Amino acid sequence: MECNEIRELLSLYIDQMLDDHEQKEIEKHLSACEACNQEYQDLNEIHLLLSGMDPVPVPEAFELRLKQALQEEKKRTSGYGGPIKSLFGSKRYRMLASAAAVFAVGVLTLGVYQDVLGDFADKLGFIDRDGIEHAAPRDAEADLYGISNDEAGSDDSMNNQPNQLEDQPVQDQAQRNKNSEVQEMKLYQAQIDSDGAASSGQKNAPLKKEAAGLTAPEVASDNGAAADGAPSSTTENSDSNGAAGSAPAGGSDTAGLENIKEKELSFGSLAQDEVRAKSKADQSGNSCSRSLTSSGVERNTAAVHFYMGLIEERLEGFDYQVLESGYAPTGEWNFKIFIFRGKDGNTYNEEIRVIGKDGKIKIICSNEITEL
Amino acid sequence: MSSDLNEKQLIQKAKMGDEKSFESLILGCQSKAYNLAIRYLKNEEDAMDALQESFIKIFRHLNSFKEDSRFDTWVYRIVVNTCNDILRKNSSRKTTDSIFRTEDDKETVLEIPDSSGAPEEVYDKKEKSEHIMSCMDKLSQDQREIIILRDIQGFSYDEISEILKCSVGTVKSRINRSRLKLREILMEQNL
Repeated sequence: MECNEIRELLSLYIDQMLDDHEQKEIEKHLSACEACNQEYQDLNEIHLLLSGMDPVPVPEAFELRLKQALQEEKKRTSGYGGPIKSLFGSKRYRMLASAAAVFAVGVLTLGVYQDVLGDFADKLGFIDRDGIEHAAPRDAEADLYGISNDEAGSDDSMNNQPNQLEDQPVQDQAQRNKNSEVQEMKLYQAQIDSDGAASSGQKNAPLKKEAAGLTAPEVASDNGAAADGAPSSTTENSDSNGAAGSAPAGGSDTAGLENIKEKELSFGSLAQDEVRAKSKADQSGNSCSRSLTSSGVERNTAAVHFYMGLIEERLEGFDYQVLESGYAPTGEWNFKIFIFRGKDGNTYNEEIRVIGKDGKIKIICSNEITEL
Repeated sequence: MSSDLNEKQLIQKAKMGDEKSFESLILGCQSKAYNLAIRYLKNEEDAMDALQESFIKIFRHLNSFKEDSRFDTWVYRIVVNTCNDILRKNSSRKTTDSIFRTEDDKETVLEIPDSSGAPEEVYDKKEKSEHIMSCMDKLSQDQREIIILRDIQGFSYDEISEILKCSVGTVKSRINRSRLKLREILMEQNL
C-alpha cells in the first residue's frame, strides 16, 4: 500500500473498522514508514485524549426546569388555553376566518341588494307567505296543464291588477301586514279565476305559447327545474318583455300577456313590491315597466341558480367558496370562486373564474388545479 | 431484550401522554444528550436551554417516532439539530460566550473533569485535552461536529450515520478528514 492509501485508512485503523487483512497491511506499512507512523501516533493520541475526557454532569437545576417545562407544554396542548392558541395560530383558522369574512360580505351585499330592488328574498321564494305561495307554482302547473290560457285570454285581467294595487292602502303595505296581503292575493286570484272562467277559448293557442315563454324561466328559477332551458328562455323572455315594455298598456294580446305576467309576478312578490311597481307605473303611465323590473329579478335568480347548479356539479369534491357573481352586458355570467382544496386533497387557495353563457360554463384559472 | 421491551412499553405509555414514562425514557439518554449539547455550545446555560428545547420537541412529536428505529439515536439527532439551530442563531449575534469564560480580561478554560491516573499525568492530559478542544474551534462546524460525535461522545459510525442522516461512507471519510485537519491545526499551534 502507498502512503496516500494508508493516510485514508488511518482513522478506520484507529477505530478498528478494518478487516484483518487491511489491518495487517497497515501495521506492516507503519512499521516500515516513519512519516505514516508519526501521523498515526498523533491521530491516535488526539483520539485517546478526547475520548478519555470525563462526561460533564447534568446540572441539578435541569431536572426541575424540565419538569416545569413539560407541565407547561402539557397544559398548552391539553389545557384550556392550548387549543385556542393553536387554533388561532393555525392556517386552518386563517382560512376559516377568510371564508367567514367572504360570507359576511356576501350577506351585506345581499342586504344592500335587497334595499335597492325591494324584498329580493321574498321574490326568490314564495314559500313564506301563504297567499303568495301559490303564485309561481301555479304558473308552473297552469303551464303544464294548459289552464293559463284562460287567464291569459282575459282582457279584463289587464286592468285588474292596477286597481287591486290601488285598493291596497300604502300604510298597510309599509307595515307589511301579512293578513291583509294574503287576503288581497286570495281575492286577486279569485278574480283571475272568475275572469278565466268567463273568457272564451279563442286565443288559447298563441297565448299559450307566449305565456309558456314567459313563465318557464321563472318557474325554473324557483323550482330549480328546466336547467338547460333556463338561460335561453331568459333571453327570449327579455326580448318579449322588451317589446311589451314599449307597447302601450292593454289593447293587444302581447300587452295582455305582459299584464298577466305582471299579475303573476305580483303573486310572487310582496305587497311592498307592488306598491313600488305601482308608483313607478303611475309615474310613467306604463304598467309594463313593473313587469320588467320584477321579471328581471326573477330572471337573474334563474340564471344564477342554473349556473350555480352546473358549478356545483363541476366542483363536486372540491372545497370551495363562491365569492361573487355578476352579469356582463355581453350575456355572460361571471362567478369568482375561491378553491381551498382540490379533489386530491391538495391545498390550492386559488381564485378561479367561471363564465356561464348559453347554458354552459367555462372555467378560467391561472394555475393548474388537478381534476379541474 | 427485556430493556428493549421495557423501552417500547415506556414509549407506548409516553405516546398516550404519560409524563412519568416520558421522564423515564429520556433519563436513559439525558447525560449523553447534555454532554453533546455542552460540547456543541460550550456553555452550560445554552446547553440546558438546548436540552430542554429538545426534550419538549420530543415530547410534542413523540407520536411521529417510528418504533423500528432506536429511541436514543432519535433523541440525539434532535439534540444535534437543536444545537445547530442555536449555533446558527448565535453566529449572527457573534456571541463571545464559550467554554472560555472571560474573567478580568483573562480567558480561563471551563473545568473538564478527569479523574484517571496520577496527578501529574492527569494535569498533563487535561492540558492537552483543553488545548485540542481550543484548536477544534478552528475546524469547520461539520468537522467539529463529527469529532464531537465520534471522539468525545464515542458514537459508532452507524450511530453517527443515523444521527446525521448520512451514509456510513460519508461518516468514514468525514472522520478521517476532520482528524487529519485537527492534527494539522495542532502542529501549526505547536510550531
